[in-house]
Amino acid sequence: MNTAPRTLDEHYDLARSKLRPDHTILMDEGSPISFQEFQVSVRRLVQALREAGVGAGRIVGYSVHNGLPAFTLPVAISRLGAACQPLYPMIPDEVRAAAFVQGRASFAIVARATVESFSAAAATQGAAYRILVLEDLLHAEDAPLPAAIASPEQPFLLTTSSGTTGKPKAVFLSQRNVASSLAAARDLSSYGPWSDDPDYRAMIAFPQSTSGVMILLGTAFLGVCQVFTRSLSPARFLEIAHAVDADAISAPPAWLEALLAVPVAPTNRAPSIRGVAVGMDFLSSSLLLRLSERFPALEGVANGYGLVETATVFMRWKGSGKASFEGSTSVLSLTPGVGNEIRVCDGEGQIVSFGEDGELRVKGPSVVGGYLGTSDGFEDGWFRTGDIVRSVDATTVELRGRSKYLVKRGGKSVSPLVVQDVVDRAPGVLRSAVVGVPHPLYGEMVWAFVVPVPGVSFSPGSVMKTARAELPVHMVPDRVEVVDSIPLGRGVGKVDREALIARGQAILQSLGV
Amino acid sequence: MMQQQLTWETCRDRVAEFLGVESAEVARSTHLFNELAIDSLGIFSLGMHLIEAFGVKVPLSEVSSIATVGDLYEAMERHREVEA
Repeated sequence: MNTAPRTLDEHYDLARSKLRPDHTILMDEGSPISFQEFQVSVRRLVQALREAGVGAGRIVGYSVHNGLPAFTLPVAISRLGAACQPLYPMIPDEVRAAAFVQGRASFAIVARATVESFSAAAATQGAAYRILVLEDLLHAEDAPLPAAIASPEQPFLLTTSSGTTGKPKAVFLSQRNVASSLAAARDLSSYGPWSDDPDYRAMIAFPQSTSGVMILLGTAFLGVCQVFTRSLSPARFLEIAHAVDADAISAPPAWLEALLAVPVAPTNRAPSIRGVAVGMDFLSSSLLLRLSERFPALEGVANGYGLVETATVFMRWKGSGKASFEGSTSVLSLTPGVGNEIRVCDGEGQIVSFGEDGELRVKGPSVVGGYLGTSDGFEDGWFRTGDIVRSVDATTVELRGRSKYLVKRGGKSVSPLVVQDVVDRAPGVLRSAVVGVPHPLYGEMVWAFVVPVPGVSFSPGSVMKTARAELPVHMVPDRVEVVDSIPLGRGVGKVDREALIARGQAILQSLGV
Repeated sequence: MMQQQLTWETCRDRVAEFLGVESAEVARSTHLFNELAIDSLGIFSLGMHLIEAFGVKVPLSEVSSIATVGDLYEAMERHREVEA
């Protein structure tokens, strides 16, 4: 019998049956939070929300800062059979107020410090939702936890996806989607026997992102102590990792680059780090090798792959030992035990043979039912990821790139990931990003933006030499542009491709070509 | 960017630099497609590098007749004279 949890409540109840009350489930800036405290917070919130009228079918918007309530709120809302719409508190009041209206929220929870300005913004939006103050909810009476009522197919988490077209779309993750994501997060944070240790501690960089909450709850309910910081300072992150003897880090590649840029000091060495879980962006072997130099005990790396529409991670690459860091991180295997299946299809929707390229499609408990208001991108439960992959076998693919990022050069498609993987390995390259810069003659030119290793003599010719030796002619960069840094977008720090493309266009204009 | 004086040697060095090969591997008779493995669009990419270095543009209409590094150099020489 399959007893895998199908709802967030089932995950939580499993944790309640296994974890001791005095087990440290979270660390807020290094301060321990016991499972007992976590449970009390959930119960108080359930009680307060129930008194406020939250119940089955209602949507509760909230925006709270990093801290225990950011993680106990979704658990409490789930317990009442309601759905949640979390939004970052740094988003302007007017934008959040409008988003809660669009999300059809019945309630909006904000911190007391912002209630006045948020209420004014909500009034201008004609919002009908009731505004609740977080601090008031936290002081409700502690009452017994009610039995779970949410069904697996019930909508639970309203969020937005950049979509496969780049246009934001609203998505509702069901309870089953979220439960699958928690299971995938567990797999991602499991590096081997050492990560089953009861004292295993992991640092998480963006705990409030949709994937961050899933990773945090998924692993915390398993008994992993998740450590988070309140600030967005990489230096602070490393100091806390050092102070708590963190065993692993979970972060996007850009954040790991930021950590590597922090000067090493006796108070931030974090020598106990043995595992790194990555996601959200391309992971280069260059970054892995530099991480293994910075953290000499590093032995396990997991690179998660997924989209909002798949409740984040559903496939992953895992490397063990330094030799594995030198190879490609783009060979992804379906996360075991979750129950998803994949297909690689050509333009007509026919399944391609192993060894051939096509678009990755996925079906299963991780896949959302569709976007709100449109069924585009979904066919018979299969979600079209928009990512081009090489089919390896029934559960394994090699990622070639997002179809929207593929560079169309002279009628041929070029995977920027494949080019970047080669460029990153050229002598003197610290990191790089590859984009297509529009040009009437080419369609798009292949531009490699390269940050050289500081203090080392660097020539773009070294990149061209490596690229010409390892890539087909049409994939060799048309230009190697040396830059001080790779621009990052907002949010979790993905490469800002638009900024790079704009820079390329400005250079073309200055050259008059 | 500071532009260089166009000579065969400076042109050869810039071609070598762009391709990541040694200058000694580039002669006037070196074939761009067959020996240096550049595709037709790659010629324009190389051309862009040379425009930056020497400030000399070769019209698109003439590019199709360029086969060797020597051809490229001579076309640039002709247009340097025109521009001067």
